[in-house]
Amino acid sequence: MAKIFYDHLVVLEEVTTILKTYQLSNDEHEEIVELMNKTIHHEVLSVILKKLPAEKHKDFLKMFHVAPHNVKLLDFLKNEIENIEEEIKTVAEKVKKEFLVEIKRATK
Amino acid sequence: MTALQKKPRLDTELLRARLKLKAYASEKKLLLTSGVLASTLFLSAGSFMPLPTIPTHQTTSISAQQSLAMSLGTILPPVGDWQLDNEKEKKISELIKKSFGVNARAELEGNRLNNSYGRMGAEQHLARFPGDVVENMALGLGGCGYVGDFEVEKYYVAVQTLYLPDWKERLKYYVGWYRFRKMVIVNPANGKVMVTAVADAGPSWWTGKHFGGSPEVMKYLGIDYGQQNHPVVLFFLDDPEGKVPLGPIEYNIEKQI
Repeated sequence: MAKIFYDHLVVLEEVTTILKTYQLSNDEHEEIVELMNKTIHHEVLSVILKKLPAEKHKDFLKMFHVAPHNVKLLDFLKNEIENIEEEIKTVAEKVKKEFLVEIKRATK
Repeated sequence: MTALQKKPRLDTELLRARLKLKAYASEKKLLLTSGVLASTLFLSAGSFMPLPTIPTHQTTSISAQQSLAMSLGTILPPVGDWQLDNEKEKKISELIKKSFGVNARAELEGNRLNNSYGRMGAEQHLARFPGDVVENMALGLGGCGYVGDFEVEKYYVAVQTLYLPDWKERLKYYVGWYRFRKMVIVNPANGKVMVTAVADAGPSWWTGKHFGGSPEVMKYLGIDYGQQNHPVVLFFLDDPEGKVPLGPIEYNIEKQI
């Protein structure tokens, strides 16, 4: 996965560790993790754009597009949104729990 | 085996189906949240770069990798002939730049390795600090001592500096110049590109390998199978301002909206 400025706030190890206990092919494992990353990414961006003033969306998206890994993106957001790091952690944790439920549901 | 001892099985079809639905729902939510501006960004072909898992970007990323792999196939000599002439090196640099916006050079500041194309073998993890213990770890220290930086250790390569023709005469200079030097690796078989750092010397010539890669490097490039000994292109990263981060490069980092 490409590096993104908020990666350090999203901890998916619990999910990937559980997945590794099943005998999945590499392709299956990669596809599942990719779907999870995609969902997390959408959810995190949704939270950011919901909290970020509309007039700042363009600046943020431009910066993000050019260098998604740039740590200055987080500084930019910190100036605009109170507790943005906590917001990202919270949404990532919520989605992670949903993934764990889905894994449990799919376990026979 | 009794029913009680039976190991749980994951219904991957069900899980994937439900995760796809979640991903789709989250994408819809994002488009609704972000309004027209981001919708335009997301929906314009190849414009949304950060995550290769987003459909429009995935198409771009895959085609860039495939295109690079195909082009390299017409330039690189057959496996076993590892010498690149200046013209080929230049063409490869141009291809990497065009596909991923990265400045990769076979020669940098007058320095070059004996090979810029060769076999890369699997290395073990290196100690990052005194007392560091991880699975699949080398017994001694790497050629650069304790690595310190976790990212460097994750994305490290070993290069055969010890076989440079004037290694002994210029030892002090070379040790300083190569220590954690950023390198660009390309797997010519699939076009995957990664920025790495030199953290060890080797492998020995008798192994038949020219470079070594950390477990993460081998895995990302897709060369962690069989004998884990596969052809790669390894160039220096020309990035005097240190803007390009370590790790996979999955989009053109210079591309603007």
